[in-house]
Amino acid sequence: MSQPEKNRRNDDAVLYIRGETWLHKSHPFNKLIYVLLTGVVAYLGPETMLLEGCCIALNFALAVQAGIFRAAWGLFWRTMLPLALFMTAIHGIFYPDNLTVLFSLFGQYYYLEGFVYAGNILLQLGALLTASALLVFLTNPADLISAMTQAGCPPSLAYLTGSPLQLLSVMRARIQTIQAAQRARGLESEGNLVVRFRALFPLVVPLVLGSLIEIEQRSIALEIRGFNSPGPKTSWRIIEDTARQRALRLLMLCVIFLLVILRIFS
Amino acid sequence: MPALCLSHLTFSYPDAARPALADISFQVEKGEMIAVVGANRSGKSTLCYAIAGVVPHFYHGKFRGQVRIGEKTTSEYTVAQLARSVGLVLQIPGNQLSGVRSTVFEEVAFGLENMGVKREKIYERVMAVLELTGLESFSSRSPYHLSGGEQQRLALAAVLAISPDILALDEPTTFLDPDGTRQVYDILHQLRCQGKTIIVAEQRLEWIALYADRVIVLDSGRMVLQGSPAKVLTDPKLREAGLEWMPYTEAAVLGKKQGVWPEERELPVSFADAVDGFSAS
Repeated sequence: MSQPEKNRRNDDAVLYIRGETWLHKSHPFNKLIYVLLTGVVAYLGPETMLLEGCCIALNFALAVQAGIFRAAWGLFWRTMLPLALFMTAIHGIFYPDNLTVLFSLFGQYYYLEGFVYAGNILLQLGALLTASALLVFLTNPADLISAMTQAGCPPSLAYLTGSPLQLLSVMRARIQTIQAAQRARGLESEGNLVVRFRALFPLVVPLVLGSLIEIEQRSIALEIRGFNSPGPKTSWRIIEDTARQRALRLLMLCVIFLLVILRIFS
Repeated sequence: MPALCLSHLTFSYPDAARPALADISFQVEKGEMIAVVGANRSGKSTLCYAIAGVVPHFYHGKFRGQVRIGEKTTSEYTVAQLARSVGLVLQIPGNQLSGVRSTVFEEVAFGLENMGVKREKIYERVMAVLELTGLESFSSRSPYHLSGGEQQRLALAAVLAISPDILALDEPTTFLDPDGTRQVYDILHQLRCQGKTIIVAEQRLEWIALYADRVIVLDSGRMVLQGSPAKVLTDPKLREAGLEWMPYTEAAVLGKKQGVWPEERELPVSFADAVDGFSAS
């Protein structure tokens, strides 16, 4: 991650990277619907790898414009590389429609059809992942929650949607603390896959138990601050929603609707 | 009418072998500061929960007796409804953050938003409590980037913003250094002077000796002692409840045996009392 990106993120304990670009200022619902649109295009749109590739390219172009390219790229390759290795190997060998042998390795044949199929799935996932990265890195969770509340969503739904984004980094910090504590007690967590796998259990158990206790405490904390109090709520944070933003949102929803209809009747 | 009245309060958590609170009765007048002390698992947290209505609305169990806040009985109102009358500050400040607000200002405003307070009033009230708790310079900082002591003050500010008449604090200084502890108690003292009623569960006896009007000692869910700090904190029964006398008190007891503490003088509960006593002998 570039230093400016890192600095902007370190200011807040969230995945959100602060900025002043038009993408940052876009209404959270627009970014949320854009993720939905990308998913619909990738999974329900014309089945061509070119379209999915274009979606990924567009998302990266938007990431460059918003100044979050390195963060988005880091998330992309870290997620996609293991998936790509796994899926191309599996489908290259076992895809039921495999016919055309591409090459053989250690006596095992790899087929073109399987690679194409895996490539298609990977591009679909990649498109959705990069669109989600735009949402997560460019949307302040507090904005998303406020926008939902202002739109009349039940507060509990808004909380459930936004709080994971806000609390992800808190969770990450806790994992690091547990890791450090376990290492201090002699647990090896660095090294080959077997060593890392063995270290997983002493890491996961305190993390899960600690999180359960925290959830209970946080529920009490929300209650005592009137989260479920009856009557209308107000919002300090006002999310601007211009006519242009609403028009863009409507346009995206229309495209989604059309693609779904086309898919049903094609 | 007392600000808070507990009558024969008994509560058992589900599947618990013994009640967490057993036949607790006491009254607190408006503007009084009560300290609740006791060893671990003596029922201090449950008592705070019961005052705020968390018991029995959040933690269900066997609940008998009554907790009255003014004219309201806690069992008849939800925790959210009671929040306007009773504020509860939990032991671990990090767990008390809403998890959905990105600045200290917004974190404090969260409760007011839930109560439907108008925007202009929100600003006034948030700024007032940030000033009171010494957090005004942190208003635009992330709540997750505060120290433990600052987070504890933030938790207090978040509750104070709602302006409840009664404050119940569950070991609010556990994670604080002496300076942070003094800051919290100074704030509580100011609040008491403004007429707020305060119930604080605490392990650090030296602070309650200085600030509390009355001390209640719990042992295994039962109230075993009640009275002024000078009386309760020098009572031999305190040790039976799993607590220790303060070093000043211990020193005076030894001093009495060696003839360097005046026979007729009460045992001290503060450093200043101890200095006075030893100087007078």
